[in-house]
Formats: sequence, C-alpha cells, structure tokens
Amino acid sequence: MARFDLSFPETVEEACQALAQDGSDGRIVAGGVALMILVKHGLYRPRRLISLKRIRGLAGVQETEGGGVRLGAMATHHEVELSPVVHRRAPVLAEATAHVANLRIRNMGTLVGDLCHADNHSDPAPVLLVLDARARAVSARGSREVPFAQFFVDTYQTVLAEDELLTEVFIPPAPPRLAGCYVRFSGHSSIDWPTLGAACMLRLGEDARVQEARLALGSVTAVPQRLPEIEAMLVGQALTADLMTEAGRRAARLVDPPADARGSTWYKKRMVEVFVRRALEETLRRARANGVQIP
Amino acid sequence: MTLRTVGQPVGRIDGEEKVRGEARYAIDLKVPGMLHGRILRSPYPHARLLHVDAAKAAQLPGVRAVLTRDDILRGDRVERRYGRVYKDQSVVALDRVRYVGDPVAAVAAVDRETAEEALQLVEVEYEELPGVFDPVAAMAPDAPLLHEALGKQRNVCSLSTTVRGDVEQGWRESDLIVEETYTSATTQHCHLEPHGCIVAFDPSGRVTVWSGTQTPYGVKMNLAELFRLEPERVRVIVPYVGGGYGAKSHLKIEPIAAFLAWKSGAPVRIVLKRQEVFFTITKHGAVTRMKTGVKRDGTLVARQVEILYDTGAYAEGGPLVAKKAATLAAGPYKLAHVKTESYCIYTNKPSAGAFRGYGVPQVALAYESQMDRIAEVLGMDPLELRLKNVVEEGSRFATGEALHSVGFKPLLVQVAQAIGWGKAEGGTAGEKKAERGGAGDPKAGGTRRRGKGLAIMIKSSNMESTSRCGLQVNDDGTVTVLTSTVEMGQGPRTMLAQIVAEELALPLQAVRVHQPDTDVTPFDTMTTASRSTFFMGNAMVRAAAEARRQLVALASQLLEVRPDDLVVEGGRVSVRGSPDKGFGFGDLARRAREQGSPLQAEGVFEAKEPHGEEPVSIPSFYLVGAGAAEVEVDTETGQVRLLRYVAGADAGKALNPLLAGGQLRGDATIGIGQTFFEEMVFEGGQPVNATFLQYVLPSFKDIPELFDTVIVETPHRNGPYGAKGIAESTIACVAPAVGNAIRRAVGVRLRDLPFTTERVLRALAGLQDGGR
Amino acid sequence: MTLALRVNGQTHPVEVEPYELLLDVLRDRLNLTGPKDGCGEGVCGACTVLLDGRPISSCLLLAAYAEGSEIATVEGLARDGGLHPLQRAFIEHGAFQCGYCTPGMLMMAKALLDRTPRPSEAQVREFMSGNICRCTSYVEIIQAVLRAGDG
Repeated sequence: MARFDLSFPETVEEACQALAQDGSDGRIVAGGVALMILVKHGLYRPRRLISLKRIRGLAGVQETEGGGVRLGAMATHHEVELSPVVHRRAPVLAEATAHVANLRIRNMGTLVGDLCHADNHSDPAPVLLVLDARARAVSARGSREVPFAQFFVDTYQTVLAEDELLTEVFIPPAPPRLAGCYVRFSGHSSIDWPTLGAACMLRLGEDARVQEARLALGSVTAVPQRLPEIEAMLVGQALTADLMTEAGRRAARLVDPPADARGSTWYKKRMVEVFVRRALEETLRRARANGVQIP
Repeated sequence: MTLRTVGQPVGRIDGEEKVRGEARYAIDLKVPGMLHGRILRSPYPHARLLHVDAAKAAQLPGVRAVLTRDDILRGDRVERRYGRVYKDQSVVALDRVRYVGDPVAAVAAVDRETAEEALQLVEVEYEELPGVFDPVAAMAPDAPLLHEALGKQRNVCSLSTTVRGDVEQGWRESDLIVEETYTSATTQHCHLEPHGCIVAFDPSGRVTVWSGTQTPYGVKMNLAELFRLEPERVRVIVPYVGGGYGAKSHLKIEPIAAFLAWKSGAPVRIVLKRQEVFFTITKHGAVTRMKTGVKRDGTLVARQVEILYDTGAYAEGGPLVAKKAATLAAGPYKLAHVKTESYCIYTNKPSAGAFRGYGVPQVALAYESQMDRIAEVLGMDPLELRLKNVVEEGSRFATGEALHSVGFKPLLVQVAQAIGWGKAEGGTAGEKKAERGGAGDPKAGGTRRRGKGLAIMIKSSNMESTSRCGLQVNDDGTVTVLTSTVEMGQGPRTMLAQIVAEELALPLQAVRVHQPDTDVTPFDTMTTASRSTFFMGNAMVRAAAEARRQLVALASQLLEVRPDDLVVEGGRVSVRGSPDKGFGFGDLARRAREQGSPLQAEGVFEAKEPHGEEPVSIPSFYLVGAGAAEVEVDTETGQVRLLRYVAGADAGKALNPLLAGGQLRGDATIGIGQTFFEEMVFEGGQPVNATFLQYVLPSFKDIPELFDTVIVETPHRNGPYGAKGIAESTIACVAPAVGNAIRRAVGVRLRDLPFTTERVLRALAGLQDGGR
Repeated sequence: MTLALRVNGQTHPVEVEPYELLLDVLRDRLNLTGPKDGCGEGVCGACTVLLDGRPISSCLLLAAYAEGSEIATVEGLARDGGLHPLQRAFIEHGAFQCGYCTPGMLMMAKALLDRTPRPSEAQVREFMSGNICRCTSYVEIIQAVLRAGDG
C-alpha cells in the first residue's frame, strides 16, 4: 500500500477547512472503495485523505417534507438498496443500486462516493438523472446545489471544485402516477460492469397517453445522459409497440458509444435500440400493474 | 474383491483445516527476518534496454538488495538464460524486453511499501521496437523477430507434426471435404491464490524454497541448474496450493526471489499482485485450420489440421503443449489419414504454457464444431455421426497405437440421454415446432430460441514419468504417507489416503499425508496432466502392499503362525478366526523399530514399464470426456443463456465419486467462462483487462441451473482399481457443445472464442466478424 | 495510530499506519490468515469478513474504518471446538477444492443465513454472486448452503 495520512474530521466545516488547507494534496474519502483501487494500482498517490466517516449528519437516508428523499454522503449503496424511504419514494433507485458491484462493495461504498468518482458505468447515475436529483456541494467558501443534469463533466470528472465536497443528494417529490424502471445489460457475466443501463420514468394519463417522459442512458457515453429528443417524441402519444420501437431506433442514432471490451460502437448502438424499447415496455408493464388502464 | 473405502464419496481429509481457515498457503507463510521482494516490469511490449540503473533504489533506507541485468551479466551466480524447453529467458531482462510485464529489475526491502517505493527509483531507458501481437502476423516474412539470436525464423518457436496414412489419398477417397478456421482467445488461469514463494539461503549455501508450485522436484532441479548448485543443495517445500490449473508448474517467480535472497543474505518473499499473475503465464490463443474428408455414409476418411499456438514472448512449456496437441488434434475418431502440424509462435505478449486441457480445447473446438457441420451437410444426426466414427477399445489412434479404456460410446449415449437428446430437438418436425413455440415463436413477438449440442474430446496424460512414495507405520497405529504430489484442490491427499486405508483395512482418519518436501518426500515427476491418480495412486498401492507384507511378516514371526493364516483388519494383524490373538499396527511398529527395521515401505510406478505388446513410449492413459449443452439465444442481444449442461467422463474407476463429480463440473465451469467471455485483451501489446475488475470470471449466476455429471467406468488395465485421471475431461467440450447448440437454436455457426454476445448478434445479422 | 479492533469477540489493541488495510492488519498483525488476498480489488471475495454482521471486502477497507465494529473472520466460525453447520455442510458436499475462496465463501454464507435462515436456491445464488470460486462449479456450494440452512 502507498503511504498517506488519514484524518477524521467530526464536522463538515472541519472537513472543508482541511480540504482548503491541503489544496491538491488532500482528498475526501467516504467509503473509499474506488479510491483504494486507484491507490493500489498506483493511478493515484494521495498525500492526505480526509474521511467523512465520523461526521454526524452525513449518514443515512431520510424523507424530506413533501415526500422527497435526502441521501447523506455516508449512506452506503446497500442502505439505499434496503431503505424503506427509497422503496416508497424512489424505488427505481433501489432497483439500480442493487446492481452495483457486489454486496460487499455495496456495504462499503457510498452512493455519493460513486457519483463523485464519476465512472460512466455507474448504475445509479442515470436513475438520478431521471429522478431530477440534485447534489449539495460544500466548501469553506460556502454551499451550492447542483442538478445532476449538470454534475458530470466527463468520465471521472465532475463540476466539483478542488475544495468542494458533496454532502448530500436530494431527490424531489415524485408527481403522482409516475412509473419507472432501470434495465441493465451486461453482455459478459452478469457480475460484470454494465454494457448499458437505461433508466425510464413515465407519467401516463387516464387515457394512457404519455404526460411526461424521462429517459437516461448510462455506460454507453462518456457521462450518463438524458435523452430529451426521445422524451419529447413520447409526450402526448399513446405507448404503442411501434412507438416504443421507434423510440429505441432514434435513441440509437443519438448516441455514439466508444468501442471497448464490452462491445463495438455498432453493437452498443444496437443495444441502445433494444434496451430503450425494453425499458419503455417494462415501465408500461409496471404502470399497468399499478392500475393504469391501457385501452 | 469388495472395496470399502475406495469408490466411496467421502469428504476431503483436508476439509476441516480448510473450513477452519487453518490450511496454510504460500502467501500465509512467514520466516523470521523475511524481506519483501517486488519486481519492476516493462511498460513496453518490445524494446531494447539502453540503460538500467538501480543505484538510487539501493540507497533507499530499508532496501536490502536490488537485482538488475548487471548482476547476471557481470557475476557468475546464475546462468544467463534458462528455460524448460529452450533457454530463451533470463531472470531479469538482459538486452531486450519482449512483453508488457517482462521483469527488468527487482528489489528486496524490509516492507512492501519500501520495496514499492524503491521500484520507482530504478532508472530505465528503453528504445521501443516494433512488436507483433498475433501468430499469423508473426509468421509473415517481414515481421519483427523476437529471438533471432536463437535462430528462430519467422518467430516459429517450435513445430510438431503427426502423420498417419496419406491425406492426399484421403481427399481422393472422400465424397465431401469440409475446411474451416477456428480461433481461440488468450486466457488466464486465474487461480485465486497468486503465485507466492519464500526463498532462503542458509550460511552453508543450501537453499530452502517454500513455494505454491505444482512441481516441487521441477523447481528443485531447475533452480539448481540455474544457480549452478548440486540439486541436493535445494530443498522445496510446498504448502497447500490455492489453485494451479497448470499455471504453477516449473520456475515462475522463484528465480527472482532466490537471487534477491542470495544477494541480501535474508529470506525473501515474493507474492504477486493479481495483474502480475496475468503477466506470468497464460493459456495459448490459437488459430486452428481444419480440413476433413468424409464419405457420403458419414465415414470419416481424412483430416488435416494446422494449429498456430500464440505462445507469447518466451517458450516456457509452450512447445510441449503444441507437441502433445499434434498427436490429439484430429480428435477421438477412426481416421485412416491424418496430418497435423502444430506450431508455437512467438509474439510480444506474456508467455503461454500449460493450462488445464493442454492445447486440446483449441483443437476440440474445431473438430467438434466440424462434426456437426458434416452431420448437417449429410443430413445425419450429430450423435449418430459421432457414434459411427468414434474410437473404441483397440481402435488405432492417429499415433498408430491401439487405444484402451476409451468408453466414448457409452459415455456419448448417456450424456445425450441426460440432456434429452432427440426430445424436442433433432427429433420430428412436430417436436421441433413444439420446442420453438411459446416464447420462441416469432409471431408471438418472442426473441428467444433454444437448441442442444454435443461434444467429446480426448487427451493423453504423461508419456514417461515416475512416481515414488513412502509409507510408514507409526507407534500409535496410524500411517504416514510421504508423497510429493501437490494438493491444489484436485484431491490427491484424500484419494491417496483412501487407497492406503483400503489396502491396510484402516479407517481413513488413521492415514496422514505429509506435505511435499523434497528433503523428506520421494521423487515425483510433477503434479500435472491429471496424472496423480494413475501414477501416484499405483505407487501408493504398491507401497501399501509392501507395508502390509511387512506387518504380516512380523506378526507371523511373533505369533508363530503362517502369514496365510493372518488377517489384517481394523488396524490389527490377527489370526484368522481368533481376533484376540494378534497385534495392533502400533505394537508391530514399536517392535519393528526395536528390532532395527522400522515399518517403512516404498512404492514406485514408472510409465516406461511395458504395456502389453505396445511400444514403451505411449501415453499412460487417455482422458475421455463429453459434454452436452442446452442454450437459449436472445436474438435481439445475442445473449446466450446456458440452461442446462451435462459434463461426462470415463473415469476408468471413480475412486471418490464426490470428488470426481466436483472435478467434472469444475473443469466444465472454467470452460463456461472461456466459452462466453474470458479473453485477455491487448491493444498494441498493452494488456487492457489484466485485473479481476475487467477480466470477468464465471460466477454463481453464470452456471446453468441444471448442471449434471455422467461418469462411466471402463477399467484401465494398468490403473489402480482400474482408475485414470479425469480432471481435464470436460473443459474442452463446453465451447463446441455450446456452439453446436447455438447453431441448432438460431442457425449460425460461431468459430471464434469467446462466443461474446456481440459475435452472436453479428453472426445473426449476417455481418462479417474480423474480416472472415 | 493505535486502534482497538474487536475481532471474533476479542479486543486487540494494534498499532497501525493510517494507510493500512484491514486485511493486512488481520493477516500480518493478528495472524488471522483465514481471510485471503485474491484480487486486491474487491471482486473475488476471498478476503470477505463480516463487519457488524455485514460482509465486506477487507482488502479495500482502511483498518481505521473497522474500529468500533465487531469484526468476524472464518477463525471465529467454529464454536467450542465444534464446526459450524456451514463448515460441516461444505465438507460433506464437496463445496471447495483448493480451499482458497472458502474462508470468504463461508463468511458470505453466514451473513446470508443470519439474515435469511432458510434461503431459496435463487436467494443463495443472488446473495453469494460476488464471491468467486475457480475450482468448483458453485453447484456444490449452493447445495451446502441450502443444507446448512435446513438447520
């Protein structure tokens, strides 16, 4: 193991000060999973790690007024996966989180840590996009809220400044009649990283027409992305098989996935086509199961 | 004779140690004063070494030794080059590096952190050279050469051939000729325990090596030769080994640890990081061209095979793999005309060597896929075509020998039955329709199709090889077995204890098996090639028989009764009909010791012994395996679900059905990984997935929900109780069985391993994959 | 830094460097070599230990993070000399060969049975899916866990 110092501030303020003082030598560590892997491979050599572990108030998952969800920076994936609040208010997030790595890692790693690491293969990231979630970034200079739509800059790069840390994630209350799903495709073993992840939320009217559509893709682009063009084409329409097929086709044309060990650009575009359609089909199935009458 | 312990599904004798977490592996060992060794490795696939300077590293506090080419070139401690087949390797690179990961320097320090920091202080200057990364390109006339100094032209490391009959005549006699090319990816063993060893020199110049190796005597001999020592000065001790599958045979990291230990004067431990394991040894990628001639009635006539094994930067055991494969590449079929040419080709990638299956999976993919192709063209049932042509007792093999203990026919029939062959698949049109109905009915909008496939394979064990063992009766009536067979999970400790318990009529608990230690346990060629049951098992039967003779002789003398009137039972030798009149083994052991002739027996088994009228250098036995798969293909994604798999083998005699079943399924499970996704990926010679985060292994979720085994028993005339090795019987069958099942499900033929979802989808889309 | 680590019911004061990982501290300082290093990146599960009953990869956990938690390793599985039902079932069903993954596999299975005493086969596959065995086919492990779950 490479040598580094480790400190355990007890308040967010202390952590911010330590981070401001250390400049580029310091780095925040939450669960530490992704970070330890980087350190072990010699890809990152930290001087000082500032742990959030002992800061009270960063733990856990809470319901906010009005039925939103607040996720603290130290909430582990597994806590999110099991949280009754998440199951009630944002079940698709629990669904996606259950796919992260393996149970051991989900017991150690935090959702916020995963988002800050900004690996584009994150399972929860596209879900947070369709949930219209926001992050709170804090530094010695103050605090700000960043929508996840603007959070990811590039693979492994976020809008967070060197002296900023992410303390919590907010998911706004969901409108009624919103159904959704996260579908994931892993071409190799199912324990592998996803080739593609698709998050979908739809609000269907009494007439079964789409009142609101939110779609996002993970893993196939440098950062997880919403698909506003597809969302726009769905709104006001009845979700027919042809429409869902067409949505998949168009989505495939909108992305240009990089080729890697999990598939060529051609293959990944094909999978976008298939899984955007399947995500819509699955969402529709769930909406029906929840009592939406589809003529 | 009724067997009592042999043939029983008893639990492993090392079970309790292992479930308590008390079994010690090489990485668990510590020696007082031990230093930690780390290796600096080349970042380039092919480069000239202009400059290597470790002076700064040596000055770092805590560093006790550094090793660079200067130590090898200027000193006379070690031979400059070594290698099991060709001396093309050196302890660290001398003039050139030939793959990413090639050792350039090494350090030993008081802790791992210091060793790691010291590596960064080693100054190395490289001049990059053009590299070559696939065997076809490597054979081109203008390809960069890896070992021109050894006279290796066109990067051909070795060529082995087998010829029987005349294939040209065969083509003339054939009604149909099929010719195809199949490829297999480079993969890695991925034993969970990384390579690890500790080496210590004592003041007298003796070396002790604790290593997780499959070949204690191989390490002893090879290290002695490399360090110019008498073999008697090298002692190799092997604790439990955390998986090997071929990757831990002969010298791996021991030379570097030994050099650091010699230079520092302290014991040195090296335990590889996972990424380094991927650099240390791989399974050969291969290109197999196969041409087969067949008569209209399905009789195979002739087969020609050319295999290019991608052997990486150094020969390692590669030429031996290719040599064996040359004799096996035509498959277990009666063929009058065979010609095989098996090449090992150097490339700028990590060295490839022994891997479970030993070159056979790469050729079985070709011959078993081609069998189904032939069946299809001739309109025959693939099972029927195989049964018509498969070898049986006395058949002449490609090598010319008459085969023995090859129960392919009963095995094929049973494996086919277990997968439900002929039911809803390969049956009537009505049945076929029924199977393709439901979710697979295109009109229902379903995207899934099902199919079944079969495959068989043949592999030989060692030719010339020797196993010796010792056995002593202790004063407490227990028996200690001395054997250099390595326990790496395949179960020899249990199997050997069962044999001794059987022969001496003892409970299994009364038999202890000593760990391999070349100062204590007698010579054994190595623990490879599924040979231990046959070789060491035979030696053990002989040792136990000798011990029994000694026990009876002593009791006979003490009791003054004829040996024939004595029975051995329950740890006692007593007079037949008078169980009270006799002695326990412990009593006899004490008395024998007091008389100056302790109860010790030796057993030896050698493969050079005559096998009936056969020539002496034939393989000791053949592994006979089969597989059957049922798959479901998602035609939209190319994803193939393995619904059901049957792994079968002819065991001769299963000495322990519990462990035997575990071998068949475990072997096939590695095959599942290599069929669907395992592949070491290189970009310009740079490995891009040499970690477990990127190189994915089969998990609980990747094995079929129905996973059965079939064991048939065609006793081997020279095997202990008729037994043969089985641990490499099933791996080679998985890919062709799955490929044949995919073909029957969706009509596409996959020829390149792994069968990734993308390859399946491309085939379905009728697209060209990789220009073929 | 000095930590008080509670392992298998006993508290061990141990002096560690801030960068040290729990696996190395267990193995090198406390001589608990049951947990193994397989991949070093939390994939294989050979280093699995339980932290307050939850399985984690000790190869990625800073040792300082484990302070204040109950750490359970395979060495604490057998009680009063007798094997845990999981340990017996693993032997009876041939649920390991080389045994290197076994300490982690057993702890993962224990976490499952503590939470779900009678799991279904599908639950065993799902829960255990992050632990790798390269020798067996997993079938034997599933059988052993199901058997131990029968009580």
